Amino acid sequence: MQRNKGRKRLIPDQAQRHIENDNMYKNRRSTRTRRRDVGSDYASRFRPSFQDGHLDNQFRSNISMRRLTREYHADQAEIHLENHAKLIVSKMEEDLSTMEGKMESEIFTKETLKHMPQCLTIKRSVKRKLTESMKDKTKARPISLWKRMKYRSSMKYSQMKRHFKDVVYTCELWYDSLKTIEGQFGSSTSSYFKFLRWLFLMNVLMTIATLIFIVLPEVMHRNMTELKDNLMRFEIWDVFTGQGSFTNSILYYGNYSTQTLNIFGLPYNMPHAYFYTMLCLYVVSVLILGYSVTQSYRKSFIQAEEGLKNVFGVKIFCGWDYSITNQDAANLNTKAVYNGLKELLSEVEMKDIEISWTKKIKIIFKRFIAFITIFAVVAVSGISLWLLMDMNVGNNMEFPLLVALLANLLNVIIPMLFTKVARYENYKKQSHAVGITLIRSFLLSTVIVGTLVVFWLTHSSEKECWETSLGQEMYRLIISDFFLTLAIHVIHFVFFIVKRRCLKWPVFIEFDVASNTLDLIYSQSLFWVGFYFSPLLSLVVSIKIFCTWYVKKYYVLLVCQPSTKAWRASQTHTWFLTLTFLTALATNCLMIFIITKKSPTDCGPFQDYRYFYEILLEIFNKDKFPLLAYIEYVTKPGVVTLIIMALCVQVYYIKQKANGQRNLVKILRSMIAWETKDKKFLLESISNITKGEWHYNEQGNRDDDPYNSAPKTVKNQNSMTEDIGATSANYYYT
Amino acid sequence: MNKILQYPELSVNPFGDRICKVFSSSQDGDCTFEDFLDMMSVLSEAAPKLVKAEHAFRIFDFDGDDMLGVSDLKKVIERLVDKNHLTDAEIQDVIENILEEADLDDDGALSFAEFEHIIDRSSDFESAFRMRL
Repeated sequence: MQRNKGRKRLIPDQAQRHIENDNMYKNRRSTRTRRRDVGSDYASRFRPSFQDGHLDNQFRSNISMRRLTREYHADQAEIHLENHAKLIVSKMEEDLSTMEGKMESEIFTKETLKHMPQCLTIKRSVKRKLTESMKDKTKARPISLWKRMKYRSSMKYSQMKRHFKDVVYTCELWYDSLKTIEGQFGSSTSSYFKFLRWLFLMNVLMTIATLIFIVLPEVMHRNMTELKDNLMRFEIWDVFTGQGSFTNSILYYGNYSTQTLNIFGLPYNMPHAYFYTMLCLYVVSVLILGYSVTQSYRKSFIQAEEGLKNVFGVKIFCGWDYSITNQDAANLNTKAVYNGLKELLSEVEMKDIEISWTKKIKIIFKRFIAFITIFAVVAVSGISLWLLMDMNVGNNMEFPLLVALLANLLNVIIPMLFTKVARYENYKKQSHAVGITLIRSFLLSTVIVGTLVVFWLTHSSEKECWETSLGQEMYRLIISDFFLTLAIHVIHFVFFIVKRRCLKWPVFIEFDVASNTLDLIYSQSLFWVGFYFSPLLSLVVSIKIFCTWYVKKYYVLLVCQPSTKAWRASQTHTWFLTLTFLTALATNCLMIFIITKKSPTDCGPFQDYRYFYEILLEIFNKDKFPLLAYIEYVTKPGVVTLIIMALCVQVYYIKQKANGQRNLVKILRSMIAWETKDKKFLLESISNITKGEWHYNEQGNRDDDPYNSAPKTVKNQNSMTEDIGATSANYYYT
Repeated sequence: MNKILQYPELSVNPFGDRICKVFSSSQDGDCTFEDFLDMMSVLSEAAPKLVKAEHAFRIFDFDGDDMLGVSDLKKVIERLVDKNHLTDAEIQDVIENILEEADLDDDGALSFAEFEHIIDRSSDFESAFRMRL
């Protein structure tokens, strides 16, 4: 009874919400970009259950549709569905009549249908009815030829877009493998593979661009002029060292022409092509990454900000991974949910217990020692790398692979040490330990790459063509990294077979998503550093990632066990993207430094320039470009400070606004709670009266009518909360 | 229904029978082709969050009263942890915690709006409530 009463009281709120929704969508209708939101907001009113109350008086009885249909027989249910569809159509037509353009209304209808939580039969019937009524309307009102043309072309365009999406969807790369991995290991492991695929596609696009704009013209030029400077014999060892016959090939920067090429009678300025292609690729890759990071961040952090409080609800309602197909994985999933619930319960109990200060000091001391150790280890590995490179250059590059191998070995072994250290530090939460280890490993790989780059930049004067040397170093690192991972995986596999099959030991190897992803980011950062000095490195990296996919896939499927720890797949993905974005940003800064501060040597396309960036100025000077004056004006310190200040003010303003919104949400939430308390109180008093349990005598000296007097204060409050309740409900649902 | 439950994703899913029931137009768990199409479209990657939330809510709503009451939550938890038994007290604790967090109007059950509130703030839901064809 209580619930029914509650619902009836809610009806005015709902009606008001309905009106406000209408207004809102009318206001927004003009803005094209928000149409999607409106469609979904609007569609949410067609929930099949009690919110049908909006649609018609017939449904105001708040009976859920499911219950209705269950009572009907099958054929009657069909009739009911028809009726239901009719109701929706009439409601939608009413709203659609306010729309001006046919185009707009069509898109709106499509969005609404998509977001409507109804079954396909209803959707189909609604669509059919709407198109019929639309047709009638178009007959009644003829439109001009121009409008028809515009409408048709835009419809064609959106249709083509949809077709294109369908085609892309069916051609999805490695779909089967992803499905099997997801089915057996859940979505967290498959997030690693998705990231791998994403990187692969990006690198392939970069390869295509470099092949078309840089490599192909150079090759054609060489063939036409029959330049044969590649006299050294090819040896298989060169594939690993990147030296020998590779040194004078188009793999490296040093061998690209510096003049304007003549390809089929057309001039092709090689330095310009080289510079602008590289510039575009670097900038575009950072932009793409930035965009994906913000998208992913918005999806998994900003929207999920409050979700942290609903830990139990999330565990229960989002605990099951619906993509699992295999019994073992299902068992592990139930175990993961079980463990998670146990952990949460113990956390709730633990909250009350305070840690004594002696223990706190002990923990701080432990962490301090760990911090020092890690700092020392990172420093030592950097210094040892530097010394080895120094020695190697002194020996005239006798063992070129030594440096690359050391760097990669450090990158493999030291993170294992970090995991041990994190275990020693005794973090309360497993996720904290994993995060800290990730950050430390990231620091290590940054130091390693940084040491290599700084070494070559400081020794640039000693070398004949330091650009090519840097490219070679990166090439060696990438190649040796691949073979090292391959070797480690093969060894793991052999050990696994021996232990499992021959010794019959139970072996469990878990696939470590975090460290594997870090390896990918490391290899990608190597590529970004080396790409400018070796255009074909993109091809090498693409092939490497392609092979890595298969190595990892078979490793996972044959050796690994699904993890019993529940990973938050979407948030880890954001973390990985952010780390990749940071490395891309760092390499871009490095590139800017090299372009503006380092002078090229007597090799490669830029040997005629003092600095790389002078090629940019060339355009401005040649045509007396007026833009240069503007750029000079804008880069004056005063203007820059003004811009920065304006940005700061804007950030402050937005921050304040966000704070305000947060407070508002808090207030509204407490309002909802208060309102229900009022409701409860009133309902109790009403039931007391109906039962006749109200003691007039006790109340008599205060007032004669208990219902009007006792909850008087409550009533006042209630009329206030009613208004706010309506708006809060609005805020809440929209 | 038994035939549909042989579909690998559904066979290991603790809510397999519930999914069939929710999507079946005859309400008994048997699915026509159209119902199956409906199921796959809701569980596809492109389905909007609201549609997914609506169907998830119906899947968890065992007694069909349009509220996730204590008995519904209990069944959900029991099915989720399966063989790893939680004691009754522990389940009670979990349910209390869920209601404390999410039951905004204090009526001892989760309405769709409250359920949607949980789902809306959780980034994991979309990646979990999804099947690949």
